[in-house]
Amino acid sequence: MAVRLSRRKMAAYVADKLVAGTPVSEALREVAAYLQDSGRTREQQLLVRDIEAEMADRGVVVADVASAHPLDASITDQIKAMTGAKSLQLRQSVDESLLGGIRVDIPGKRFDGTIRHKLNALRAKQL
Amino acid sequence: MADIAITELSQDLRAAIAGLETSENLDSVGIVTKIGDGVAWVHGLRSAGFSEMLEIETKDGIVEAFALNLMEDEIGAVLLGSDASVSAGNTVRLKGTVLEVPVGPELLGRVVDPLGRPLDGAGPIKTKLTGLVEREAIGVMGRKSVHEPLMTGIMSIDSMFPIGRGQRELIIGDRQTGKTAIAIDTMINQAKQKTGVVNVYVAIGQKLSKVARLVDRLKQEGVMDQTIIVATGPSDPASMLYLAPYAGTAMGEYFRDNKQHALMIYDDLTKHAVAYRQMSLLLRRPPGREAFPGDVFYLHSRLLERSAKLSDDLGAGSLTALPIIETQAGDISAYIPTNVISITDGQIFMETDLFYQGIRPAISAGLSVSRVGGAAQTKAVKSVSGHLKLGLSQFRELASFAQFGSDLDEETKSQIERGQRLTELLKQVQYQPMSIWEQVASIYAVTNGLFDKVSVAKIKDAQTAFLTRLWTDHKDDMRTLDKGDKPTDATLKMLHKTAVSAAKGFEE
Repeated sequence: MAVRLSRRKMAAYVADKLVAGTPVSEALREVAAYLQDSGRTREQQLLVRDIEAEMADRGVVVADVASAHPLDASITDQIKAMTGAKSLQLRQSVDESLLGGIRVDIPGKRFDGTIRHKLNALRAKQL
Repeated sequence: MADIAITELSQDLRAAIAGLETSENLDSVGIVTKIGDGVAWVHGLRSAGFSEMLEIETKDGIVEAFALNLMEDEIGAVLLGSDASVSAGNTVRLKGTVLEVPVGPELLGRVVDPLGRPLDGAGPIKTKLTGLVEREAIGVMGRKSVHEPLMTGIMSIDSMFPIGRGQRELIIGDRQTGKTAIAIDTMINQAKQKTGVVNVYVAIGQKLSKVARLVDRLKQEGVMDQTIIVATGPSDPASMLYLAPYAGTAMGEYFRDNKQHALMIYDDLTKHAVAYRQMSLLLRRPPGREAFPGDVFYLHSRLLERSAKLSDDLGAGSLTALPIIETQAGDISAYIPTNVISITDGQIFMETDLFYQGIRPAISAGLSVSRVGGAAQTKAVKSVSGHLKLGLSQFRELASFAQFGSDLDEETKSQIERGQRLTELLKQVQYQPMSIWEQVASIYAVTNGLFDKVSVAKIKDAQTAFLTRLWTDHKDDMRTLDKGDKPTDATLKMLHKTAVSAAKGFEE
């Protein structure tokens, strides 16, 4: 039986290919076939997160930005400065329940500057 | 040389610090992929360290956990609370700290859980300090050999298996043989003799009704003011049972490190090993003998190694440990008992047979041993109890032979009779620890044959009469004897005289 490949290794392989300029669909085809063959297709969501983390290590960062109000374009520069990313891709969403401030999720890290988070932390402290 | 602009240094430094703060606010996060039986599997958190704390954000608030399995693709974490509100997909945050518990004198008199949260309803505990739950034991140079006695107040222990401050003495035996009773009596004795030793009682998976009874008793005896109780019940998560002894030790170490003396009681480590086995199996670590994981020895050795007598440079404090192990049908060769026997500096073995013969405390003279306590034995007790252990062991052997026939030579007969009296003398009622002078006088009377004419049934009465007479007539001598120094010839002569006259009223 073939040795079980860790997701981290698969992710590193894909990330290396992507950085080298291989088209996304081509880079993913091999991994998809391996997942299918080894019966691990359930792990695809986790693999996506792993690939994002590996890409972040190589300077290509995907950030999910959530805020209570729509943000202007300057936020991209601020996040770039915060993460030290060479290339930044944003996925923005507006969530009024955050009350104010922003929350930035980059692979493996989170900056939570929302008012809802601060209120929760305050409540936890009082308990 | 080109000009270097340093006029705005302070501003630059401030900006640099602000930059650092921004990156500090960047939490490491992962997600829960699987949850069940108090164990969460987490994706992400690649920077997590062993035993590092995690916070799981659930819809009902934050649940804490600590990372135990660090693997390539995921980490296994054990929850410190209920897993009912945790679900797959929850965000997990790395706290960046290992587990700490509140420590300090503010905990005295309180009943807490392994995280230092009060369980006694007596309000919040405001400690100034915290201590690491997992802490490295003190090194060789920081230690000193055990040389001060820790009196248990139990005559058979103090005379035959003396315990020193900083020693680890195992209490081992089947269920219902009086293991906890010995530990409690030792705690009570610290208050009665005003030794200043702080007690830390760690209940690991004990019935909470038993803990409640214990707290009541300690309050009655006035011991609670110098006692901390770390309680976990059978319904608590295995992680809490696992943490309890380490947390209790952290609390005890505060006193050790502040030039004081503390006594740890782990009741009991069998349940601790079982809780750890449960955690390990759920974390899918390979099982070994009796399904315990491979590091079950290290589990207990690293715990008990923290008990020590510190060197003078470090303040000469001490942490004594009395771990308890429950055996099944007297089998001390099972996995956990042999492990803990080899870790500790001796054991007190409790026998079911003795217990039901009415010999209580049911301490086996043959199987019990104290490896380092001899150097720490009170001189007064040592001077009278030289051959006690040997004599008692020989008597038990002879007595079993004597059952077969009645034709015995005079010497054997007298040895048996002396042994019977000695056994009777060493019986002791629970919650009544004896002071040094009481022990010295009692042992002196019997080992010197002064009670040989008293019938076995009346030995205890004769002993009471003897001690009462000593206290009424020679209070000052007894107070001197209580200091622990070797009795003078004059004192011995006085003891002899009083014992002979006290025995007269009880002779056959």
